[in-house]
Amino acid sequence: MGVSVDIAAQAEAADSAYAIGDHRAALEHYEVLAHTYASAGLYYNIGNCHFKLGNKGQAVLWYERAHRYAPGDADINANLDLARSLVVDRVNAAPGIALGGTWAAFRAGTDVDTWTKRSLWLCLAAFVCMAVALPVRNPALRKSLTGIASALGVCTVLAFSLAAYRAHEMRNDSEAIVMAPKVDVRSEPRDGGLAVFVLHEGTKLTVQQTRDGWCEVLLTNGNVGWMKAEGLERI
Amino acid sequence: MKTLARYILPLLLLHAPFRSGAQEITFEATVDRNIVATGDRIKYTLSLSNAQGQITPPPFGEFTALGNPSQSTMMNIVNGSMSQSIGYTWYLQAPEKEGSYTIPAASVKVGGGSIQSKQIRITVTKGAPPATGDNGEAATAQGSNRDIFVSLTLGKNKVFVGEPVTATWTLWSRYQELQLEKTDIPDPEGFWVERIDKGEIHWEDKYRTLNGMQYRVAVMQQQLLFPQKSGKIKVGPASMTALVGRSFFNRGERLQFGSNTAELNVLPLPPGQPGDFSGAVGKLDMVASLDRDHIAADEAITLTVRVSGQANLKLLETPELSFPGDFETYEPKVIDKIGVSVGGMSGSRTYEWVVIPRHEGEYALPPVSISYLDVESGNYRTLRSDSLLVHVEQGNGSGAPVPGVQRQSKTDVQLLDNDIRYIRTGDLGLRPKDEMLFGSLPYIAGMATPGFAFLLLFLYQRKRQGERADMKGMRRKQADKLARLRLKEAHVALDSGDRHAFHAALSKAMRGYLGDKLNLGVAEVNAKELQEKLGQYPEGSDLVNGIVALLEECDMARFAPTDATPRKELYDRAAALIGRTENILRA
Repeated sequence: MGVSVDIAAQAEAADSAYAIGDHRAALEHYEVLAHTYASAGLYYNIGNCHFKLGNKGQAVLWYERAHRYAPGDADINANLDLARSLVVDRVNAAPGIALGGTWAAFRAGTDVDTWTKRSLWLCLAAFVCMAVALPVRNPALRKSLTGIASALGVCTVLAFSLAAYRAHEMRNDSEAIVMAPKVDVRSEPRDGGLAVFVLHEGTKLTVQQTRDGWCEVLLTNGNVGWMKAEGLERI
Repeated sequence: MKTLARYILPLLLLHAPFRSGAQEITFEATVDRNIVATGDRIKYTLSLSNAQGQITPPPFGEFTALGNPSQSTMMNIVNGSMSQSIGYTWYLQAPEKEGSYTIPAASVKVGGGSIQSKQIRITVTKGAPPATGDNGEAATAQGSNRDIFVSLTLGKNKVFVGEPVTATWTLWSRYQELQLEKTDIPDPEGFWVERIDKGEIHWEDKYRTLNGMQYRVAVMQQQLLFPQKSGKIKVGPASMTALVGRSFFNRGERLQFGSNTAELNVLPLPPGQPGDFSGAVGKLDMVASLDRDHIAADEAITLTVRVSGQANLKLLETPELSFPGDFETYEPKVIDKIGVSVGGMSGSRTYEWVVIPRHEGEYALPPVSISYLDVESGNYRTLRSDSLLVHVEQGNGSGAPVPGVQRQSKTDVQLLDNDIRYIRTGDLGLRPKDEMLFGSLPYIAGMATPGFAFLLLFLYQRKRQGERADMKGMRRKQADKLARLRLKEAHVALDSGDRHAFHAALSKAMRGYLGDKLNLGVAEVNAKELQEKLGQYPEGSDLVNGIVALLEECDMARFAPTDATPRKELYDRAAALIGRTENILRA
């Protein structure tokens, strides 16, 4: 109980600091919470603080984290969009929030917990339906109840798969954001390696492997190169 | 005729003070002025008339003669008698010290005697004011023609863009007779020009001295110049044509002369212009007010913004106002009360916005702000009014829009700027980090429980169904037992072969059983009553038909000589009917 009061006080302090424009103080409060807790709203607020303080990279990073928790959240998507628009590199402009097709929107539109809960409810509903059908003698009614139950069963499997997929995505730590204002990406994992391209703060990329403090990164446009691990932060 | 008269008349007049006799000998000393500034020059002339002689100039003392005297000879023939005079002119420089000086008398030897001139007293005053801009400019203008010229004077020679500067065009003339024919004072390029109305051009009362020479002076024109661009901008020259020296006898001389050119250094506006910079340079004041602050929707209010002060008010940009979205606004009405004088442009400009709020509510009109460049400090200043509050009440009757008739014009919501959305406040839905419902123990339990529960339910159902099947068998057994009990008498008769007794016993047993079961009297066991009691059950009618048929057959067989149906068969049918009835009634 004492802990939850502390959380509320901490969040309250952060909110009021943000409201009067003291974004630095608000950020400190939120970061205390983020040590032990997680939620889309918390990460979103941290992203907002960073944005207001002018930390492009950090803002994108935290919005991306919030986006993972709640992919369908309009506020998060709007702010992430705005933060991304300030990023110098255009490689990650194409994918992301602009989802192609209804299926993708449906799949990504809801976070893992929602799908998990849905799978639970659907599972319950399917079995309840079957249980109701058991003592029914009327063959027509019985048949339709069994039909509904099997449809619900199919939905359960679907929800379960989606939850599993999103859980896999959540646990995936290969995506990262460039934190350094400007970083040379080299063809080899050493300082003298040929610089193949330059990345700027806030650009999103995928880390393929790590070796002696160097990361092999893949851009959405297919370019691959090596950069120092301290120049990026995993989402 | 007329021309002749013009010449004759003055000639006649000249004759009036008629003098005859020998020509008088005169010797005179004159100066062009006897009050002079230190260091200035005077012209000292000695003239001897009607005689020849040796002139001895006086010692000039404190005055310094500049070069040798110039000599001039004049001869006049008036009315047949001739007079001649000879003059010597010195230019004398006044001493550096002010005070009263005397130029002693000069003398001339004529014939045997000598004639003395008078002494001349000269007052030397404190030196001319140090060359001010005015005189400086005039001095440059004087250059080509020393007798007549126009000087151009600027009030300042370093201004900001938009800061007014006065340009004064002054005519300097040593001619007494002057008739201006053409005046061309151009409006200089790169300026917004306002002329200062001076009324008619007239000579100033006092003479002005420039480089020791006296001039009559008239201000031809004064302009207020508002530079529109930065850089070094040239003003002038003006050109004029005048007829001078015209007199009775003289047709005069046509002179063309011009003014000097002045250069103005226009500085660009200092950096750091505020967004609401109005273009004004000077000193401003602003008052914003509403005529009413309590109105009904669809009524008009007037927002008045009055900007006053000393600046280029005519070039003031209309302040940008951002009214609340559903306020209908119109272009502001501009009322100018602006005067132009040597000091600059001053007065006020008033903007009046008519605003019609369309919906009720409390509105705060955003503060009106205007920035200007303060000339004295060279900094931008921003004037900001207070936020004005308007209380709009629901429109009454006439003003209220009639549904379906009057429709408000819709406008798109204008996006002013991009910013992130506000933070999430209140409950953030915090969860311990790295904890996911999916794959957790509660989840697995949650998924498994319904299935497990269903399995249990299914098994239970199975068991109950089995039990129910068992109960059915038992009930049938009991019914059979009862039927056998009821039909005991008939069975005895069947075994003994007593035909009559068998049918009577069977009929009685059936009627007794049905009467007991359905709560009927023996006489009431008939088709109608049975149908009423048993018809409601499934297969009840069928059963009733069977019972009625059996009873009829029993009654018929009692009086018939032979059995239509074997007695054993009748007995079995009766037993089956009792069993069925039992089953129906118990189910």
